[in-house]
Amino acid sequence: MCGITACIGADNSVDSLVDGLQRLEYRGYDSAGIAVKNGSGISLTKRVGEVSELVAAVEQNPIAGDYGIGHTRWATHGGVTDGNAHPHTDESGRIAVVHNGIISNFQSLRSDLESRGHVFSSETDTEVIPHLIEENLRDGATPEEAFRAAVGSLSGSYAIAAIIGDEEAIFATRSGSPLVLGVGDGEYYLASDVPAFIQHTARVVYLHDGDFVVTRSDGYEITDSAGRAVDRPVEHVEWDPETATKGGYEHYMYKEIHEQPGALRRTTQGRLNTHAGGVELEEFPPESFADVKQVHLLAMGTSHHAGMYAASLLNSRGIPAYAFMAGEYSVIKPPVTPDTLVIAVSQSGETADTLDAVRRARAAGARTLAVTNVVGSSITRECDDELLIRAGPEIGVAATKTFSSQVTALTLLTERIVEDVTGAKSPAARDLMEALSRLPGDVQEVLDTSMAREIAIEYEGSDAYFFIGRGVAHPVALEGALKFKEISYEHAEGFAASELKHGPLALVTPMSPVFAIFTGHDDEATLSNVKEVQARGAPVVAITSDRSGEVTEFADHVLRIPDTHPDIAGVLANVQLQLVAYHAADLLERPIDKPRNLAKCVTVE
Amino acid sequence: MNDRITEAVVLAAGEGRRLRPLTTFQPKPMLPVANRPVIEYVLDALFESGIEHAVVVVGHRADRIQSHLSATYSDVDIEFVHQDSRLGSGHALLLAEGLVSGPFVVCNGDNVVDADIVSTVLERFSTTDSVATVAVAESDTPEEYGVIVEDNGRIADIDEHAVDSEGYLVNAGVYVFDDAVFEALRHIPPHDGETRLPDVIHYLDGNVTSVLVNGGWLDPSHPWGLLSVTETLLARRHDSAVAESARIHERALVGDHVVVGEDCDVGPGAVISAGSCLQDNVSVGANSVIERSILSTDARVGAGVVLRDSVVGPGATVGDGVVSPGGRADVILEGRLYTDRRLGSIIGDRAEVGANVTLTAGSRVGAEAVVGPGTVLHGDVRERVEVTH
Repeated sequence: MCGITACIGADNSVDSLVDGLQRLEYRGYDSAGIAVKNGSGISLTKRVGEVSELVAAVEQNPIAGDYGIGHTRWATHGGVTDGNAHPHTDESGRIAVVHNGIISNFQSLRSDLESRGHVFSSETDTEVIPHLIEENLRDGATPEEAFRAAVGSLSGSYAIAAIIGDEEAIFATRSGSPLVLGVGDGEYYLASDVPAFIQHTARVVYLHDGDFVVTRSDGYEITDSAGRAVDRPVEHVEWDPETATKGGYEHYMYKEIHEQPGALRRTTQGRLNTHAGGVELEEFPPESFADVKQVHLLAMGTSHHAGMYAASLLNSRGIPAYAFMAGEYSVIKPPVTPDTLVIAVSQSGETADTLDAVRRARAAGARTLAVTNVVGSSITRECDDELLIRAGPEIGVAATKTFSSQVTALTLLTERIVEDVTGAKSPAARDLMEALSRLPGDVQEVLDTSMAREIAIEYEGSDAYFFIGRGVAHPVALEGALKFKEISYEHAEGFAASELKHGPLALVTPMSPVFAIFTGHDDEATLSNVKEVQARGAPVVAITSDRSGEVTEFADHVLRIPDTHPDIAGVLANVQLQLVAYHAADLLERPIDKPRNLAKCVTVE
Repeated sequence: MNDRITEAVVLAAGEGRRLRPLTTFQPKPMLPVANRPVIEYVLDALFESGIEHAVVVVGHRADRIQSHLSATYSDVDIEFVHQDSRLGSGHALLLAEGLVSGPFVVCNGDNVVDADIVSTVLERFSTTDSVATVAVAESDTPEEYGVIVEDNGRIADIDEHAVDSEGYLVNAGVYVFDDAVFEALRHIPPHDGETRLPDVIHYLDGNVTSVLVNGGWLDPSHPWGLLSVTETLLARRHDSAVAESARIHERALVGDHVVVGEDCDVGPGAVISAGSCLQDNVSVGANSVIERSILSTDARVGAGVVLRDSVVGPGATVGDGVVSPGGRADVILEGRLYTDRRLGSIIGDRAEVGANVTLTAGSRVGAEAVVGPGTVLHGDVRERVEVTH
């Protein structure tokens, strides 16, 4: 779980590499390093800490080179030390390697190498690679042959970039971890993700698993593992480099919360027909899902909450649907039939657990559909079909706008599935389409009028924060708690409202505010739960569109959402909870965009 | 002065109180003119004139400007500075100190200007021995602006409170200053707690030159101005521009000089005529007539509605049969009376106007206010209140 960069042909490789790493910091930030090649050999600088530490180190002791590789790390094997930071080299210092992923057979490779006299200087799995390359070179292989042979002995998942000896080239490959090639004007870039080089070029080649690429300052060559040339299209990416800057906001997360009206307009653009009260998905014309009997939704983290949301909508419309944590899917092996539609939800499209679950589902014969934010990501190649959520790049580690866009895209997909399977639009379709059409404006209203900061101030210093809801509000409660805990580091838990009295109520005290989500569906039952916690002295913050009724009367505080269709009210409630989490973390001066121990997209299992 | 001027400061922190209720939730630079926020015209003019780095001073509802500009101007260098309290345009410019250097352009973010104006001002500054150059324009309503008192092409004064001015040249809000302006700004005495940028000319040591710019300068500072500026800009295009994702019923009529945004929905028999704009995701019901009016994003207009010379704010709902017939009205804005202005009605963000309401000329419905069915409305409804028949 790391970010890698490489560049060749650029004017200043050090600046390009470091700049790229800063844009990849969302992938991990416990240590960073670069290696550049110049006339006198490889110059290496690496530091524990964020990329800014590396920048300071390079400023203090400048290095220069014509080409090089870089890495920002999120530790999996070996502690967070300068020694374990990438790039890694062989004993001679003539080979440098950066790697994202996990080498699963590194122990045996390492013992073999050590028995043959290699001396390791780190605890990482990665370090076997430069030693393997070095051995192959010693046996007379060319740098490219040595690289291929070394990669050939690896198992696991990896994206690797290397510079080898005096050959003016960067050698790279991927298998199970992301790697993209940026094609500039006489300059070439490799990176885990497009933002690393988008300020230099918008022309991108999405590499496939098993691809090898050799880039030189005059071009690049992509081959398969057998050395045969493969042709990969050069695509034009529409992401703008500045979209990935903070635009005057203090944090990416706050910026992305405020981008939600625009993101949702893009999610729904051209996909709603309010006249006919139905959806029009270019990717999925009517009858696309006529033979579907059940739906499995696979995802992790925030995407899993979006999956649960969709499962709730599908079940309530008579379609059997199950939301699984993708990491559990391969373990519990739920029955899959050819009429099972598997929907994999991943913001980045690179989530290792979800990719693994998709492969399992496909092997079992299911039809697979990816719901993702990233064009050309691994999951779009693993699945039969894809539906893009069009939320735009998300940099904050805590997912915000992508949850809203995922739920909205899944709601559209749900209507298509229901119509195809049952042969009729759901009774709610017309109202729901109108509500979806109003959703971007409704989210804007929440942003314009939210009292979330006042609530965060009011309850600062509480022992714990609980979130409850039923139906679609249950995953929103889980998401509200996840957002709160991941950026504030305070104890926060979400529960189904009905679950409280079966255990969690024991935790409720006057020092544990309870956020209760009301969607307008089954509100009376949730109100009873509110009364239960109030009886234990806990303050209650209701998230509701209710203006004067019983909910407002009983709650200690209200976070108001516009009146809308209950099926989509959860999105609005979630925006309020995003703001509560943000302000709570801001009051505690947490590093909101880079919470400790977390990374944006988890590409290791 | 041989070096090309490549930096600019855009003042976009103001509240736009004269345009309430439209500016309750939106800052004035974000108000739509021909479906583009005013500030886009300003930034386009600057970047077309060779500006490479713009500092935008934001304040009131800053998030709207930041989110929009960082999405729309992703390939140019825009930096934001926050003016947290309302201390005037002079103070706003002072916040950009250290972020720009050498001579630089200063523009109001809430007036429409074009690249010719910016180039003209730059040219005048570069070819004269000036410490500052101010763009001036002819106006038939000089009392609404700072009136320029000129002395042979050099500015002697900008009178912000001219009552019976004989002059008809007004400050068009485009300037070139050099670094000395920052020191001079510190000497301006505040009026009502605000320092005003035009006052700075009295504290600059050297010539302040002016240059006449006409045609490209349009000021939507008042509700009628928003409508007339929109009309002017739309009249410059020959046809209408309807977004691909918009659904226009085959029996609806969309005239020339109209723009219709993404995901709009225009019902059967509806007529949208010249000078009208529908922003994104607006719906207009059957047989409604929209003349020279602005319908903002997410506005919902029912069936059989007549809107003339009117502005409907974002997310507002206009019920079936509502009539806003337009005409001429006397309007009080910020304590000042403007007589005989062409204006229908202004409906604030997310306000709800019930069926068969009549909105007489010059009436305004506050943001999130509710007007009950059948009401005949004169004057103002304040924000978040409910009015019934």
